[in-house]
Amino acid sequence: MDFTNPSYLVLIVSLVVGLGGILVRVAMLLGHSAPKDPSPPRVSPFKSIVYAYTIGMLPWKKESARLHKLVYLRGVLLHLGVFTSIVLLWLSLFVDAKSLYGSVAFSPLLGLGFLAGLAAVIVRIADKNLRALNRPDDFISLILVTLIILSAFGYVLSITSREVFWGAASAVLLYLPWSKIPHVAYFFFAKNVFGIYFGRRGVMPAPKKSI
Amino acid sequence: MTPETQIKVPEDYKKKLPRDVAIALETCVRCGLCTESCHYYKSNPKSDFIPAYRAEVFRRILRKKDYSEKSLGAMSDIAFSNCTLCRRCVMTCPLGVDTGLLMREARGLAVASGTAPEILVQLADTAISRGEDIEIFREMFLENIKALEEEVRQLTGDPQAVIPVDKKGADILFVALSGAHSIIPPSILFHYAKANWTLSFFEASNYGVLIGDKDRAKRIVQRIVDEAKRLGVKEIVVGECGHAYNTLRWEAPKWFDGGFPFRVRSIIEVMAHLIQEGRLPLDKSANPEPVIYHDACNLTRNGGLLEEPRIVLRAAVKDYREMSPNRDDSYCCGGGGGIIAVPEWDSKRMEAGKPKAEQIKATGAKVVIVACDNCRIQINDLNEHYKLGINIGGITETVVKAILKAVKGS
Repeated sequence: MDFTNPSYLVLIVSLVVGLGGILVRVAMLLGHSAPKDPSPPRVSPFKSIVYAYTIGMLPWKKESARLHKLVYLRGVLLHLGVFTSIVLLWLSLFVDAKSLYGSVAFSPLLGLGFLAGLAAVIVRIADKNLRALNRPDDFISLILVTLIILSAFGYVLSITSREVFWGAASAVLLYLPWSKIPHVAYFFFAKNVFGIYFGRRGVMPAPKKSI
Repeated sequence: MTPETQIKVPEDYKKKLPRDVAIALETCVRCGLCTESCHYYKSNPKSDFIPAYRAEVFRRILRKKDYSEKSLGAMSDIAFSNCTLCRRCVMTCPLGVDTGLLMREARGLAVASGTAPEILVQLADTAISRGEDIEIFREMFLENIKALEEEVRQLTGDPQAVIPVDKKGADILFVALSGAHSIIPPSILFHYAKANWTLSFFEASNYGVLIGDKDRAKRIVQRIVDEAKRLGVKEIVVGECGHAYNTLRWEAPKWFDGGFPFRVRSIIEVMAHLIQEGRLPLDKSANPEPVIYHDACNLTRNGGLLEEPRIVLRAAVKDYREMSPNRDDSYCCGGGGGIIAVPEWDSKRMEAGKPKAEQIKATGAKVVIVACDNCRIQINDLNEHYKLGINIGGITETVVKAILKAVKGS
């Protein structure tokens, strides 16, 4: 930890803003009322919630993933790239990741994550349907996370400095509270609601077929 | 009012939304993976028909607090005529965003702002006023039931067969739809099942739910709940109506403190139970033609009745087949969410029903069994529009045919 390094200080401030922003948004979400559901469930929703996070997310279980295998793969790679960058960022706060044995092993995930991000930006511009859905935030968020993956990639391969990586991370973190990126937290709420809704009704996981 | 007229929407409208709605509002990342899940998009691949697009219109209004007549009118049109609340898109969303829930909330906002289709609001209000004073129609209702009872006696050949109404101490309060088709087959079924039942004064359908107005929806349900409590029944059995089942079984208990003191089942569940217990005499030869079952969204995806109809039909027909996809993956027929009651949306409704028409055609079946009245009207119309050459029947009437064949040989 080097408090004399300005980019480090900016990163710490950005971390506070970004994580604080997510916490505020989650708190706002939890501020909404959630009426109790007294209807007797057909099946325990617990099973369904577990299913929603596990088997239900497998590509062959979702029609959308079955129809768009490349988009699904692109999404997986992009998110792996982002999570790898986060791990690397955390490590870089304490030790220069370049000095870590094996940090270069992150590079394939980061490289593929960057390509996935780049492809996602291009598709968002080229695809008629996505153009109709896009908000400016979709581009800003996507470009920023793609840049953080790229800078992490450059960092582990010693092409760019840690300061560049931190700079990109700071940009993402500062923008985070106003972006769609908190879906990383909302995801869990949405999956719970999804699991409870279809689980109580006994729709998911599907009951044993009678025919 | 001009299109720019601002409609007064409470300042804290967004803050007061329930948590599940707030989650659905915030979570979408506009990846577009829900696109092909929608029957509207499948039959007409326009960006307007992408589920996420519809939800985005609602989100934009809330985000920008754009409560102009023009914007709310456009939102209302989308929420009521471009979505049947089938929730197929929810199943395909990688994040599980409940766009159906958002569209229902958008409908509620449209009602509150006076931009919802008047006919649907009127239908809800008519049902409420009927519940306020049943004495006005009581005699007429009882006379009609007497006439139906006569038909039941003829069909069963039993002069003792009855359609009990207002019977205290009955186990079951059966809530039908208006129309003989919704009352006679269940009456015959209950007769042979030796059930201790009574018919409700009120019909099951709930336009309050369809317009996304919880207050009206609750008042419509209240009539039935009060009747069930007054008669002291053990359970309410809902006739062949998708949204009524979903409402009474799953949604309405949330509107009453502590839920209901009775059980709620669909007549399909009752039949499946009776069949599994071997309590119904059935002769499959009464239904010899190839039969398929249409999974009504409110019964299947939103109601949880995935296997029960199949248990029933397998026992009552000779040649049961499946459409593909089916069960919770099934396509909406295009007639849900109240769209069927608005004549100016008929052509849109026919277009949206194309995937279902194609599904039916692909099976080669001659009979489509439908356990939801709105779906039944829609599939009848699709039959005519797409020249499918099929017969459409209800699930209870199919079972009753098999019962009568087994009992009477005809």
